[in-house]
This record gives sequence, structure tokens and C-alpha cells, in this order.
Amino acid sequence: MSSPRSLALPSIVRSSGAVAYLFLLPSLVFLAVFTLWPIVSVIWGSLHARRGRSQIFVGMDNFERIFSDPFSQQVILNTVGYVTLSLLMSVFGGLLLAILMNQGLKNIGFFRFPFLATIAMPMVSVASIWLFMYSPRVGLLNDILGGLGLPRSNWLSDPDLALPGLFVVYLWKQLGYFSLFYLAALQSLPDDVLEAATLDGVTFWQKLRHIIWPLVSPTTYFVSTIGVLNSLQQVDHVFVLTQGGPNNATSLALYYVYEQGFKWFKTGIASAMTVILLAVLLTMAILQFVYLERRVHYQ
Amino acid sequence: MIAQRKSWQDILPIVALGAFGLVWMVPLFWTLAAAFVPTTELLNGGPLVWLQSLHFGAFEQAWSVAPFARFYLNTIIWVFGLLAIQLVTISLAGFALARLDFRGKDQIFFLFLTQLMVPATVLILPNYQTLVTLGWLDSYQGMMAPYIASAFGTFLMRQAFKQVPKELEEAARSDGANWLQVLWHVFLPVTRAPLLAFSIVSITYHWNEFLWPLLITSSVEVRPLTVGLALLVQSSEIGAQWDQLSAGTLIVAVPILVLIALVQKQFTNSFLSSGIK
Repeated sequence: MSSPRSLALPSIVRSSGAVAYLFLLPSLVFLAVFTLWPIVSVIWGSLHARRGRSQIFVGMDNFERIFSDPFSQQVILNTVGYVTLSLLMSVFGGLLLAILMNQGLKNIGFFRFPFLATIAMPMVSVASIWLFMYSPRVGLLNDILGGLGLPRSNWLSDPDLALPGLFVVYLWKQLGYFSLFYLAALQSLPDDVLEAATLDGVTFWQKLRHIIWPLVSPTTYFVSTIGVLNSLQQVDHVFVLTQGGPNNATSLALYYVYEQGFKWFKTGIASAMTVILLAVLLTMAILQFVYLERRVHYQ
Repeated sequence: MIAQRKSWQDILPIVALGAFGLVWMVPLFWTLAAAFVPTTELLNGGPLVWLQSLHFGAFEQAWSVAPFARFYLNTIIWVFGLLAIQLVTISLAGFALARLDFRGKDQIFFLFLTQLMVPATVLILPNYQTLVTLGWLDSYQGMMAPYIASAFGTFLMRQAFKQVPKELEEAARSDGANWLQVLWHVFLPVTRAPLLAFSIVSITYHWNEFLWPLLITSSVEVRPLTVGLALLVQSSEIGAQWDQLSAGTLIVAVPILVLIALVQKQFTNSFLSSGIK
């Protein structure tokens, strides 16, 4: 074994303990400054409000404002609706697409490409593609709807349609992502389980309900978790397509943090909404932990 | 009879998947058409008219309206610069957690776990304030800072290093190599696959990143592609210059599309290992 000088460690760090701390130091410094400190600082911020140049302690005032103000109530409703739709999409849409992908040909990379391509594209590009699709004048969507005899709409300016419109953009981009996990789960199932079910003449629905669904339940749990995590962080398409409008119909929690914190400089309110998001994330992490513990015990 | 039914069952899902895939690609095809065909012809003509009026003018315009060349350079510097730093931090930290004994290991492990639970996207407000304090606004290091420590990468490398046989490590140690040399000469050469998987996820994720760079950058010299495109979209009047916008969209998205077309299988596996990203 050659020992180039460049890799020589000072003699003081010969013990493996000292080496370990040295190796961990770069990561720990950045973890402390950009993950731990911000959590502390945002909790502090959520309990304070700016009065002129100073911050004064206001207790739970910021949280009470968020839960009582119709504008932020609307944001919470939007977010809950968006996340719920995402959860359903990631589980049911993801599983159905994966079942379709798992049929027949062994090597169907070509057929998977459309669903992988959208995952890899920036949300900003995806959103501008859909800005074009939704456009009342040149948009293809209204042409298609018109051709099918359905009513044309001004998608992004209609308060009832704008949020579903954003969701369609997210669906288009992320469906393939969630199906990847189900595809991996399906491919790890023994072949004879699925084939036996086919031979006995059971319907597709029975097979899905009684054989596939129970077998992929760990994946369903995992996909639900990342589905919620993922959708809570979606904000780029709001910037490009609607900026929270029309009438606050498409403002999601993270966009609200941006608006309050960076446009109107209400750091107390923005911090409080961040803390609410953190609480949701923490709850999900605990649920996942409990679930994993239980699985380990049963196995 | 049975053979026939079997072949139907084989073909039908493939046809369905193919048709579904085609429908899925319609927005992309439409954007492609819009970038190469002037908007008036796009609306009034059919595919035959489109073919006759193909042009690259929209790309030239988009390229001149917004400084895309500079945005490209910025994206490449921040994405690959960050990746280089991350590969060092995750290898070192992953090695320490996998192969070294020290006090407080469980506590440190838990600190990394915190980052998995709390994605940086949610912490934009306090992290922005930290950058103000550090004087790192509008800089590459400011964009990179929240991602330099990567719990996902550290755990990925820890798993990989755990699987390296103890004998390899002991042979190198008894030859007098220190831990850094052991990591470099013994562990890293046999863990190229997880390093590559991490790289693919990191590149895709940060190439596409928008909100954080938007908030902290203000000059053309630092702004990445995604921010440049969003500003182009917002600055144009509704209904105007669709060809230019489509061209801009493609300029940003095509490199990533080419990358995944080339490494599709690797890409799939990398994203499966990532979970959260």
C-alpha cells in the first residue's frame, strides 16, 4: 500500500475517535447552521412580532392570527385539499401505472420514458409548458375539450378550476415517480403469486383488491409518506402559473410563507406557518417510525 | 385457444401503456411544435403547414432576450460545485458512521436523521436570515450552503461502507495506512455505484431547484437557469411570444431529458434509493 503525502493525517489524530470527529466535522457544522439552528430560530420567530425595529414577544398570537384570518384559513384549506389529492394520486395512480408498466414485455424502457422524462424536468419548465396548455387563446387543452363537446374554460383565472389546474401539473410531473416504487415492489413479488391468480379466472379487480394490494402495503405506506412530504413542498408552479391567485385560490402553505416573509416582511406570521409545517413533518416522521418499529417486531 | 388468449393478454397492456405514454407526451410535443413553428401557423395550419414553416428563430430570440448562456454557466457551477463538495462530506461522514468507533455516535446519527425529516425547502425563511448574517446573499456558496451536509448521501454511503469486508480494511491498516488512506484506496474504489446514484439524484434535484435560488440571488452573474426561465415567463405579456417561451422552456429542460434518456436504468434505480428527493 502506497502512502502518498497528501493523505497523511497529523499524528495527533491517530485514534479512531479523533479521526471520526474530524471526518464528521464538515457535515456537522453545516447541519448545525442550516438544519438545527433554523429550527430553533424559526420557533423563536413564531413567538415574536416586529414592532418598528425591534422584535417583541407575542406568545401564540401569530398562530391565533393564522387560524382566525379568512385569508390564511383559505391557504390551509387549499393545502389540505392539495395534499389529500396528491396522496390519492400517488397511491392509486402510482399503483395502477406500475401494474400497467409491469405487464408483458420485460424490457419496456421505451414505454416508461414518457413517465420518467417528466420527473426529471424542472418544475419551472413543466409549469411553463402547462401555462401554454392552459392558455385561453393558443392552449391545446381547450381545443381538446371543445373537440370532445365539453365546455371551454379559462383554467387559471377561474377560482374553482385554478387549484385543480395546478394539481394536474403536479400529477403530470410526478405520477411516474410514485409508480417507480410500486414497480419495484411488484417486480420483487414471486412470479407464481400473480400468475396463479390469473389462471384461476379471477377478475382484475379481485386480484388487485385481494392479492396485490395487501402484498404492496409496505410500499403504500412509504409512498403515502413521501407523497405528502413531496406535495407539501410544491411551490414552483404557483410562482409561474398563478402567484396564489385568482382570489387566493391557489396559495399553498409554502407560498404563503414566501409572501408573508419575503414580500410583506411579516416574519412572525411566516415563522408561525413554518412551525406548523414542521409540526406536520414531525408527526409524519413519528408515524413512519412507529410503523417501521411494528413491522420489525412482526418479522 | 389458450395460446391466443395468452398473446392477447400480453399485447393489450403494452398497447394501453403505449397509448397512455403518447397522451402523456402531448404537452411536450405541443411545446416542441410551438418552439419551431411561428404562433400564427401553429394556430391556423395543420402538421403539413407546420413542417413547411419550421424555423429556429425562437431559440435565437430566447437566447438573446435572456442571458441563457450565463444562466447555463451559473447552473453548471452551482450544481457541480455543490456535488464535488457533497461527495467529500458524505464520504467522510458515512465512513465515520459505518466503520469508526467513537462516543456520541447515536446522538450524531440522530442529528443527521433530523435533516431527513425537515427538508431545506421548508426552512427558507430562517436560512435566508442566516445568509444575511454571513454576507452570503447572491453567491454560489449561499445557494449551496443548506445542501452541503446531506443526510441522504451520508446514510447511502454508510450503508455501502458497511458492506465492505473487514479483511480489506485490516490488511490496509496493518500496512500502516491511516484512515483517510484506507477510505481513499480501499473503500471509495468499491463504492462507485452508490456514489454515482447519489450524483444523479443530486444533479437532477439541484438543476431543477427554483425557490431557494430565486430568493437569494439578484444578479445575472449568479442566477441559475430555472430562475432565468421563470423571469422570462413572467416578463412576457400573456399571449405574446409563445414560440420564444417554448424555446426557453426547452433550453432549460432538454439537457436533463438527454441525461435521463442516456442513463435511464441508472436513473430509475437512483431515484428508488432516494425516496425523499
